[in-house]
Amino acid sequence: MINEQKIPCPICQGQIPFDPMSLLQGVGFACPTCAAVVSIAPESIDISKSAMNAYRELKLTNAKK
Amino acid sequence: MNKKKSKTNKYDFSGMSIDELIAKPLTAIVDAQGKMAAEQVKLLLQNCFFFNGEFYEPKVIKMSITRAVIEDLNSGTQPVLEQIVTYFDLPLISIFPLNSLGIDAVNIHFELEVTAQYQKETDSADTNSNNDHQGFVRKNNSNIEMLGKVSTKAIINQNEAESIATSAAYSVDVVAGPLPLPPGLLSIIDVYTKAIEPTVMPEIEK
Ligand SMILES: [Zn+2]
Repeated sequence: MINEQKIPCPICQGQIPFDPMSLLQGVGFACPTCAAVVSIAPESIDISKSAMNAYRELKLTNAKK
Repeated sequence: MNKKKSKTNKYDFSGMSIDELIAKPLTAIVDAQGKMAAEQVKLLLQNCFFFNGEFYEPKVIKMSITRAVIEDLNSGTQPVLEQIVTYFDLPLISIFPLNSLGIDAVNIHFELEVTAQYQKETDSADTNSNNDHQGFVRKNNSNIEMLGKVSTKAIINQNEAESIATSAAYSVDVVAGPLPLPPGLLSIIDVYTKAIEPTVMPEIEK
């Protein structure tokens, strides 16, 4: 998967694969090593949503070119 | 209106250097990629950073991490599974799918018809005026210069059956893959990750 992103797990230092779009919708992603679940805190959803919308728009513009 | 009516639309195009034929679509893609990269930088600066009048400061988002902890294992009672939530900060840039903004993969497929092949005789660049095609300059640093053109099946079937017999056809696949994140950005993300890494608090003595 080309777009797969990873966050370092703060507990076991492993890598947690996640999908940014789903993460923003409140989906939690589990660390494959220690099973800790990472999700975005509700107070940060707005700030990341607006950034992601801008990103999505740019991606659409690029796709049209 | 049709003042400029041409004598014929057909012109004698013997082909272009094969190097160029293959490189042209790729350079066009590189140009496009460059433009996209510039837009990407703008997007990142506007969305992942605040400008404080002097420099850009990264926007940080709050993340939560939930894990189950088993408590009271030694107390003889039933062990209790407790959910512990830890909050940590993460620079917004680190969850941005940066590399997917560019061109993932390019697959240009064309049938290449070799129309001419020349062996270099001298070191100096010279124009071959003896051949039937338009003159072209041989390159100093290569011994063999090949000319080719993109061939289409329609042409092959109709008019050029004879000329095909005297030329070779190659199938060319030009593939450009995705680039990984630039090392500079990876180092920044790494530095941030280390800076916000939680440390274990020493146990409080009771
Ligand atoms: Zn972990």
